[in-house]
Amino acid sequence: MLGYVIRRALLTIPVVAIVAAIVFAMLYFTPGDPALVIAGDQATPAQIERIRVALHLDQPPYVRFFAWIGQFLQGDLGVSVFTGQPVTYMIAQRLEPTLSLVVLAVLISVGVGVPAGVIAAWRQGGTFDKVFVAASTFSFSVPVFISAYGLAYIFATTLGWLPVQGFSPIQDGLGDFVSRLIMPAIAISMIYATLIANVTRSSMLDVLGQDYIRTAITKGVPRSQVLFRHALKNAAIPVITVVGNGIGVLIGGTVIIETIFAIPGIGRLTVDAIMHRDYPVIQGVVLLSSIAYVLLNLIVDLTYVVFDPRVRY
Amino acid sequence: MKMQAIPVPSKAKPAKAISLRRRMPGNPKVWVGAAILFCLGLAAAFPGLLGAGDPYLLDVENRLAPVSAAHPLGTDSLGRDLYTLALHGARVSLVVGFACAVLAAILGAFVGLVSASVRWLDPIIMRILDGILAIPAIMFAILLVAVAGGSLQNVIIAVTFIEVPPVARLVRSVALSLRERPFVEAAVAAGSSLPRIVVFYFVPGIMAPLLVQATFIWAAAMMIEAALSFIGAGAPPSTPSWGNIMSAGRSLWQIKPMLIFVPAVMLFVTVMAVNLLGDGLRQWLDPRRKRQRA
Repeated sequence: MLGYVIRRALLTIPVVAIVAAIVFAMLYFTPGDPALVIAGDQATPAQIERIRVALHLDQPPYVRFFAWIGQFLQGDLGVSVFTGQPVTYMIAQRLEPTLSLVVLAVLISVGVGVPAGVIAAWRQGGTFDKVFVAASTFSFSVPVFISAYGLAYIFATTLGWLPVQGFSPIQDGLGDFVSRLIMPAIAISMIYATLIANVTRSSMLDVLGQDYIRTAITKGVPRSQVLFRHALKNAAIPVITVVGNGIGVLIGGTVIIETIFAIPGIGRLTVDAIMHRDYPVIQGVVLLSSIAYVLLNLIVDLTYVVFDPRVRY
Repeated sequence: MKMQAIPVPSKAKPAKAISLRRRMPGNPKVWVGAAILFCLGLAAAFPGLLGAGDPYLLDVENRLAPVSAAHPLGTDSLGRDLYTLALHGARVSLVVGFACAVLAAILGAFVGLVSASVRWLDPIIMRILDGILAIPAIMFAILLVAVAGGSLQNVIIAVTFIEVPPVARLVRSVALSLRERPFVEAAVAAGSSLPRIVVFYFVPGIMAPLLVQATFIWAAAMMIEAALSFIGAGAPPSTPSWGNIMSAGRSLWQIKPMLIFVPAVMLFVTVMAVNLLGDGLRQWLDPRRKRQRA
């Protein structure tokens, strides 16, 4: 077990290294001088020079790459071209709202998606299942703009039940925290929850067709226990995989949703960085969100062992 | 009651001999999706015929004008006709989506086939693809456009770039399973060269899954394009794309919700049409999956 954990963890190192190389190399796809492009059309020579030094563009690429990697390993992602603050500091400051949003979205999506998928599979071909299948094609296509602005229009503008936008940290009271975060979290969850529900349904269909389920039912095990203990546990691995993989969709979604709901998180930081052409910040956000994504999928892989003791590597 | 509820695996397997022509009319999704897309495509190709004017025309006197005969959906904060913008947005969205789907399918197929056929390149290619896939898609697109500059062309390149790895993986896995099939082994034993096997055995085999994947890329590309424009990392703000219209309407949406909802609903309808087409194609071309999402 421990050996597997270590080996699987070591496997993430080359992936992270490749991600770092890609993120770094992106700067060279720029036609012309990267410093000029980042500075924009109205930049003064002094500004361009500052960017050039900030990005170490005055040194050869391989020197820069290893310097950049070395700094990164020490927790240094460089300095923002716009604010002059360390990128890691800026990201750390914005971490809480985004983390809260993503965690709440995962809770909602799993809480809705898994039971919906289980019930649809249990009653395959029934009314619920038919509605489910039709609704899933539908909700797969809902752009986050519709779910976000739609919810805001109904519950904030028209009914006035919830605040239109903003963020309130959890330590300032759970009520404010949830009331401000619930709409963004639901809006961002649409496609993700559909994904989870669909995978749950098809994985459950595979498991429910097996002999041991029939045995359990004929010997009189209560239906809910058959579904959620006997079947779901064996159907869990594809579901957990999609929960992990789908986080990438959520992370991308935060960029838009934080803009719509004025949440001061990583997504908003990214959008501001785009506006200011703050390349070190964009680079840092992309690199760190990728690493978070890789680590999350590492954890997902490790949980396979819990759900399926046969998994041994 | 309990007994009836046991889901019995469907025994009625569709006979393999049924020709495509016979199965086609049985899948309404393909037709509904294609019909909606055809109408949208016509509107996008000839917006003038539907009464759309100049999407760049700024009528400063009539900013945020209400619905009227001259402006069927009113105007935006710059006095541009919303109806005109929405139709021209269809043009941008469909072109970007289609271009990305075609480019990503071709490039992805190429990379996947190379990976499946050239043994020593395979691990290298796969590790690079792993790396690209480890970066959340929209984040990567933002990075690419931020570096290369905001233009429609760069949006297409960025989206293509992030959609190539999944296609390549799919194509590779299909090609690898084809390689083990007896008819391919027979061809190898008969002395067929590698290029011949790739062209005459792998390429026909990957076509169906590739086509299905391409439609889903089409849908994803339209969503990503709108998202990039919305956050200011897409085409220049004057380009009439749905994302740009929403971006411009963002601060005023509570006064005039249509600035958001018109382009958003257009995007939704278009994406759904493409998804219907893709879903239908998948069920049509891959009978094994039929029971999963029938």
